[in-house]
Formats: sequence, structure tokens, C-alpha cells
Amino acid sequence: MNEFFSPTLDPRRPKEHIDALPAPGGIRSLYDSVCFCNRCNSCAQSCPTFRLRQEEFFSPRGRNQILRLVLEGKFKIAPYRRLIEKSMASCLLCGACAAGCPGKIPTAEHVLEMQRALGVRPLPVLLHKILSWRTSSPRLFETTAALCRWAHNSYGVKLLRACGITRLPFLRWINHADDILPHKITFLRQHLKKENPPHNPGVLYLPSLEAAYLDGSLGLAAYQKLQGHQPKVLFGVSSGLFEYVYGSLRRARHAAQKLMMSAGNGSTPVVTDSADVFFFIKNYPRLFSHSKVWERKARRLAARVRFIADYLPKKPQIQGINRVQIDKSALFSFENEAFEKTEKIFRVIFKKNLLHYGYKDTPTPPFGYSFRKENLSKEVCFCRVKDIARTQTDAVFFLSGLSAMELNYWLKKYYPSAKAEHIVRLNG
Amino acid sequence: MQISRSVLKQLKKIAGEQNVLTDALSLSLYSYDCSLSRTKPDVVILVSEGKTLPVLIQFLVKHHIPFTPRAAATNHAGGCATLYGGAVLDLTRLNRILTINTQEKFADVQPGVITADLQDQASRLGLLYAPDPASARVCTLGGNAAQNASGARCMKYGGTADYILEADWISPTGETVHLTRGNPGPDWIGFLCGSEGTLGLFSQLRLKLIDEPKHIKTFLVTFSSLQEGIQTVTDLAAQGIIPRCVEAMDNYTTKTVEEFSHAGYPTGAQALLILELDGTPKQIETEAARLEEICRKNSCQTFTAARTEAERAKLWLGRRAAYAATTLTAPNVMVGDGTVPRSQLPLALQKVNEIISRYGLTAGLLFHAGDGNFHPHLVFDERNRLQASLAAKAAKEILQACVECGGTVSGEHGVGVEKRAAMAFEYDKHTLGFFSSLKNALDPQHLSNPGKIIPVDFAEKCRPDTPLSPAEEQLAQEIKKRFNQNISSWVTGAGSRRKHTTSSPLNTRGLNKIIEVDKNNYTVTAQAGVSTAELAQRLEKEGVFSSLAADKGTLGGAFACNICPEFSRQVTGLKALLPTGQLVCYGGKIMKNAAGYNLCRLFAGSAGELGLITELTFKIYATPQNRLARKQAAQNSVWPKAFTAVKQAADPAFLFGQVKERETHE
Repeated sequence: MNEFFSPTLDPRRPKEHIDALPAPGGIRSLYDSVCFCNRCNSCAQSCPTFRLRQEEFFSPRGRNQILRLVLEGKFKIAPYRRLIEKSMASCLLCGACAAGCPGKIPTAEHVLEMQRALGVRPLPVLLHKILSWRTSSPRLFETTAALCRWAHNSYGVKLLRACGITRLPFLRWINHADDILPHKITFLRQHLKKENPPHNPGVLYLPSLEAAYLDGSLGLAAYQKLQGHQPKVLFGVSSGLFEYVYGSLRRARHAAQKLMMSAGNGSTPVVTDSADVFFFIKNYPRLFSHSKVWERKARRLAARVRFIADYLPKKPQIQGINRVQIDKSALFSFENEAFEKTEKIFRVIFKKNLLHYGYKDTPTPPFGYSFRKENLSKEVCFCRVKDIARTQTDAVFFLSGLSAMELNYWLKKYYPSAKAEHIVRLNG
Repeated sequence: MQISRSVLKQLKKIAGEQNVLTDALSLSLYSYDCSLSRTKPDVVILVSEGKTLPVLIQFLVKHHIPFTPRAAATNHAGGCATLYGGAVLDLTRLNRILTINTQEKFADVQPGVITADLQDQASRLGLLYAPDPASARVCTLGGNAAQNASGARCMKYGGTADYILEADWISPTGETVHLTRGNPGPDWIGFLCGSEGTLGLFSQLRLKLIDEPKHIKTFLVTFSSLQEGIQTVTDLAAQGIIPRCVEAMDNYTTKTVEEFSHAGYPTGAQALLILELDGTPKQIETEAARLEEICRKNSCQTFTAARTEAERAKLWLGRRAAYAATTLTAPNVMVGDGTVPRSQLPLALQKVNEIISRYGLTAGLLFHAGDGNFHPHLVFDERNRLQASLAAKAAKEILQACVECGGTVSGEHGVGVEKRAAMAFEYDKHTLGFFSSLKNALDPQHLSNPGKIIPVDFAEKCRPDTPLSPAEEQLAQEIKKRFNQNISSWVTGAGSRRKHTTSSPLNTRGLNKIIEVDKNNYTVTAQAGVSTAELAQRLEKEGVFSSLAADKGTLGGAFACNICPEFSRQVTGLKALLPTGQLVCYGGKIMKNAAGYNLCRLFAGSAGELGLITELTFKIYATPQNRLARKQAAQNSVWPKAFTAVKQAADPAFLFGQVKERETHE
């Protein structure tokens, strides 16, 4: 074991890395999980970065082997930090490799572990700071988000771009954010100002970051789907997914604990509009393998969490769309029940016009990737657009709003006859 | 080995600065494949343009740097391991399908094209690229050619070598040779295919495509014993029904797979067969009825036919999940690849089970029942040294058991470095010596994937020499005498194919026995001097058929002059006396063989210039075969210039004729 993974002196203290990774055969330690990669390379062709670069460095097999070499102490991190970071940071964390792997090895989780060990915070500093306030200082986050909304909606950002200020390296991310965001940013809170929260809610709606702060209409559409179940929106809490991917595990745990407390101990379902969040909450228990009490609570919440697809009308009215695809881009895995349920619904509606999303279909870069790997993200998105154009797809439906925003931008640019939408907008 | 800075600088100039990797971490990432072998190269070259490949190889040869071609590195035998360091040539970027010609039904591809990509592209055009290794989604066509990969459909459609029409081959010295089929002389493409990169590499391939069968029907049949299952396959062959796939599993594997995939397989069965028929609806209907009849006759427990595409997918679900099911149980899976004559499968499997239980290991047992190729999936943890060494020992014993059953150590995965020692179980010192001299001839500096296939110090460890029949002994003595006295010889049979020369004839008339007509394996073993007319008569009497039509000549002559290429491809085993008087033996009653260099393809069309063929084993059929166009025997052998060294390796004194050189161009 190398210096990054040496056990902490106090065994009761929660570790700064996950020691319980999910596998079809049960829970495995990180080292065991890495060793289960027998280098068969079945994952390679489903990995978008490998397909683009055709280098072992960018393949899931390569990433697993790097981690194994480091864990076994065969390589010290220091002399190869730049190379290791290059390999790990290029990973989309899309989990397509896990779907292609016969042993379902969670390579994306391994990569994340390595990133944590390296102390990599690949998002631009300012963006990272703002987003991390969501759990650490919610009020500060809301104020900053409102300021950003005002800047975007009042063409302030456009002005900054025109002046060339956003060309500064630490502000460059603003350009892309401005590109992908909707023309007018709204908050879900604005839309639901007049709504009174029910006293005895039937469901608890946990809006994703994009539904709450970037595209309130998306949150509203999800909320409306839940109307018949007396929904209550959980404002001011987050799932901790951002912290899990970009921050520290401690903060991710903290956010998860806060959500568990907000959701209470009842059996009211907690519904979310993002497959990433849904899958993350499903996997909450492994965050708390050090505490039986919290692990039990996490299990309970994992059993209550639902995806918005469960609440979609079974036969929505669809017009003007012929060929449809469900984009399975997500963090960590696209083989979860959220996709299965959505696919069932879509198959009923679109029948043969629902196009198959195969193992070689390029995923859309999920949450934040385009901010940390701008060029590679551009190439991946371009491949995605090519896939869509080749199959003459009219609409691509997403289970995550951020990915839909990302692809929409590229579709508008290169293939405007198709559009990307979140599944809650199935009714238009 | 140390590569100097100036050499690296020049390499970067040829391949591009970004495409030459030398840091220790990158080298570690190119030190493995799917096997347990790990050896670090000294430099990794990412080849991004086909045209740089010969230049690169010439440069490496000039500086005596060994090179190992590598693409997806899915090899199970350590074929990509760089035993002596040197350069890894990563060909994954050469991944373009250049042409698909739907009129003439072929595809031109670069070696890094993923097999499934070509299959998908061809399928959209109503065509089929038939070889289908289990790793088709990730392995490359160049790798398939290097290993002569086949897969589940091999029984009906054959392996990769049968589908290469033309190829650009880069010799181990960096010379590019355009090879086509149909030229006088040996079947060079067939010979090089399966040489695992030890005899150079293919830089471009023209692959045969066939019409995709529109109708496929899948069946799941279970039996209470393995013997009944195998007998069913034999009976099917006897009735002239060649299924598209015949996949089988033993009881343990069925249970493991069912637990994992819930495919609905009956777990009580001792043997489970998945059979697939293709063709026209009428043909399938007739064959399906006969198939059911045969299965019932062999007391099958269940017989399930898939009625819809969903049901078909469900039947395949378990088989496809078999590897996954085993990978979940332990970190490492060692996939064996022994092949035995079909009739020996029950015995071989019994031996395998004995070995596995003796070593206290766990293994799933999957096999392509149609061609006697079985894949024990030994699961273990390489971190546990004892377990890993037990697994390695067990794997070796399994290979020995295969050879004892008349089989080979590799049916489709190749020998690489991990099965190198096991080659000594299968071949005697003369055959291994001949393999070695072939390698020396084409790669005198031993730079192209060195250290693979041929065992180290084989003369001491290999099996005893193959006994010679009296007629073979007599000929061997005569050849040795002539070799010592430097007398030129001319191999002749009935004298019907080629004109006599002034050299002294060596007649095969004494080799006139049909040794065995095996109706379990559907093979015939006959001596080379048997006349084709006599052979046809005997086969007719036995009620079986071959592709070779009767004429005035002999069996050996027909094969050596390659007058019927289709027949030559059906030859699975061969014995030949080299011009030095040594007997080499290759193959046998096995339907596929990826161990060693393919001598059957080398001697097919060699016209007696590499030696005297004494015995052949070839496939026969239960139904009359299309007798394909026969060629006139070529009077003069004209070989590509790059291969004349092969003649010298087999016949150092040029006593068995001279070959003419043909200039080859890119």
C-alpha cells in the first residue's frame, strides 16, 4: 500500500476514501476491486476517451492498472503525478466501461478514488468554490447564484465576453457556462412562490442543481408530474453528489446526512429528476460503512428514493417526433433501474422508433466534464452529435438536465434538426 | 535492452514525437495482455499511419531492436509480452475499414479494425464476416489474423485464415509483400496466419464476406450425460447437418451461469447444448426436424426451440454470460484452449475434471462441441502465489491431457509464451526444429515478436520421435542417403501432374494405405501415394464424401500441387519427410489447430519442393460436396522473393528442386 492509502491511526475515524465498492458479487475493498480487472479489455470499446485517443493511458484497463501499480507500491505517485492526473482526469466517469465489463468493475469509482488520493480538484477554482458553497454555506450560494442569474439574464455575461474579460484563464469557464445555459435562467423557487407546501406530503421532491438553480422550468415540469401525489420540494439541501465527485468525502457525507434528516424517517418517497442523484442516493450506504447507525439510515433512504420516470404519464401525447433515443449518459453507470424504467415507458410510446443505445454510442460528457477537460469534451460531444446525425434521430431524451443542456448546445451548433430534452418534457 | 537517445530521436522523427512513449509508467501499461505474462518494453510506438509501418520496422531491424506488434492485447497466451524488451508497435490506430465491395463481396481493412465493427458494417449491407471470436467486440482483425482466430461458428464457416483473400505482409526485415491466393506455390497467407507476429505482420487485409443467412433457428438441448451430447453432435455430422454453432457446457458451468444470468437453463442436466441452424426456411425446417429426431434418439432430457428473437436472445444469454459469471468468482480467469478430436471430448473432459479436482481448483467448462475445442475457465487469485502456481500447473496438465487424447495445446488462442513449454508435449524435435528453422529463415535476427511459440531447449524436453511406417522408413533412408551424397530428387506419385525432370525420382507409390476412415470425427487418414480414384471408391463404400474428385493422380500429388484449394483447406493433419530425411508431423484429426506454424498450408502447393508428403488427414462429409474447379498443376514454382529463405530452411542443399523468385511490390 502506498502512502496515500495508508490506514488512519484512529480506526474509528471515517476514512478519506471509500472502502466498500459495489460489485455484483458483493462489496469489495478498493484494492480487491481493482485486482478483479483481469485485463480482458472488454471495456475498451465502450470508453469514449479510448476510442478517441486509442492509447492505453485513456482506457479503463489502463486506468485500473495504474491504480493497481500505485496501490502495490510499484510506482510512487510523485514522479508520475502529471501522467497519472492526465489519465485519471480524462475519465468521463460515465461508467460505460462498467457496462461493458463482464465483471462489472466500477472503474469510474476507482478513478474517483485516485483523484481524491491525488488531491485533484479539476474544476476551475472559482466555479468549484461557488458550487461547494451549496452544501457548506447555502445562503451564500443562493446569493451568488442569484447574482450570476442576474448577470446572465441582463446580458452582463455577454458584455464581459465582448470585452474579452472571460478570456482570462481562470474565467474561461464562464464562456462555456454561458453557452450551455438556457437563454433565461430561472430558479425553481420563483416558479413555486405561490404554491403552499402540503402538510402531509405524498412525495418529497429533491430537485437537482440544474432543476433548482439553472433551469427552473425543468424543476417545474418535474413538480407538475408529481402534482397528483402532493409533492413537497426539499429546498436548501443537496444529495452531496458534487462533493463526492469534486470535493471531499467528509463533505459528501455531511450533505447526505443533512438530506437524510430533512427527508425524515417516514416512508414518504423521495423523488429526484436526475439519474446521477438517484444512483448516488441508492449507493449512500457505502459512504457510511464506518457507522452502523448512519448506514442503516442511508439504507432506508436508498430504499425510498425514486426516479421521476416512475411518475411520468404512461401514455403521453407526442407530436412531431419520429426517431427517439434515450441518452444513457450518467455518472458511474448507465445500467441502473432508472434507465430500465424509462426505456420501458419509451418502448411503449415509440415502439420501433426508439433507437437502441449501444455499447459504442458515445455518451454525452456528464456533470462538469466540459469545464475540466474542455478540448476532450468538445471531441466527445462532436462524436455524440455524429452518432445522432448518423441515426437521423429527432430527439434525444436525457435522465439528467445538465447533460441535456450540454448536448443541446452542440446540437444547435452542428445538427439543429435534433434536440435534447430531459424526460420530464416528454409532453412537450 | 537500452535504446540510445539518438535512436529514440530518430524514431520520433519517423513515428511522430507524440507517438513514441518511453516513460516507465507508459511502458508498464504496455507490459501486459489478458494473460499472466508481464514484461516491460523499452519503447512504445503508436503507429498512426500504415505507410510508416515498414519504415519503422526497417529502422528497428537496422538497430537490432526487437519489436512486438500489438493491438487490443486480448491475448490469453502472452502473445503480446515483450520477452526481450524492445519496441511495442501499437496498431490500434490503424482502424479504418477502407472498402466494402458488395459486388465482389470483400472488405479491405487495416489491422486495427475491431472485428465486430466489420461484422456490423457488413451486416448492414446484408453480408457476413463469419469468424466470430468471443471477444469480437474488442479484438482486432489484425490480431485475429495473427492468431487465426475462429470462434463459435468455426464448425460451419471456418477460421480467419479461410477469409483472407489478399494481404499486405510486412516481413520481419521490413519488406512489404502483397500476397494473394491462387498463385503457384504454398498457401503463404494460410501459413502466415496464426504465426502470432513471429513472422512479420499484416498491414492490410482483404477479407472475404459471404451472404448473411436471413433465417436462424436456435435450440437448447440438455442431456443426462456428456457422452450423449457429443454423440448427438457426431450423429448430426453423420446426417450432413452442420449447425452454425454448437456450444456446450457441463453441469457445474450451467449451474454457475444460471445463478448469475437466470437464463432459464435446466440445472439438473449433465450436458447442455446450444445449437443453431441457418439457411433457407425450408432447409431449416427439414434440418430442425432431423435435429430433434437425433436429440430424442440420444435420450435428450429437454429440447427447446426458440420461437421468437427474444427467446433466441434468452437462450444465448447464459452462454454469453458464462465468462462474466466466472470473472465474478475470483480476480483471475485462466482460459484454456485445448482441442481434441470430437470423439475424444468426453474422455478429455473427464481428464480435465480430474485435474481440476486434484488441484482443488474451480473451473467452468465451456466448449465448442462441434470442433472439439474446449475452454476450461480456471478461476484463481494471482495475488495468492500458491493458487496461481497451482492454476498454472493444472493448465499445463490439461494441455498434456489434450495431447494424450490426440489433440493440440491450442485451438484458437495461440501459443504465445504461456503455452510455449506445452508445445513439447505435442511435437517431436524434428517438427519443432523445423518450426525453428522457418523462424530463422524469415526472421534471421529474431526480432519479430521473439521468444514465442517455440520452446526453449526443446530437443531435451519434447516428445519422442514419431515412429515411421516401413514404407516411410524406406523413403526416409533413401532421402538421407541422397542428402549425404548430394543427389537431386524429384517427388512423384502417379506422374500425372508435373513433367519429369532430370533429377532422380522419389516415388510415393509405396505409401498406398488408407489408414483410417473415422466416421465419428468425419476425417480420413491416408498415405500420400493412395490414388484419388481408390480413395473415392473407398469413401463411396463407407458412404462419405470429400471435396476431392477422383482422377489419375495421387492424394499427395493433388494436395502438393494444390489442384483443389478447397480440399487443401480441409487437410487437418500432415506428415512429411524433409529433404534432410527427417519426419515432421503436424495436426491430426483436430478441426482447428493454432499451435505452431501451419505446415498444412505451407505444404499445400509446395509441389514437393519442401519435402515429401507421406500422410494426410482431411475432413470428409456425410453429404456429397461441391467439387470445385480444379486447377492445372503449375509446372514451375514461382515464390515471392521474400519466401525463398523458407525453401533454403527446408532444403539447404536445394536437392528437391529450385524455386523461381517473383518480385513483389507494395
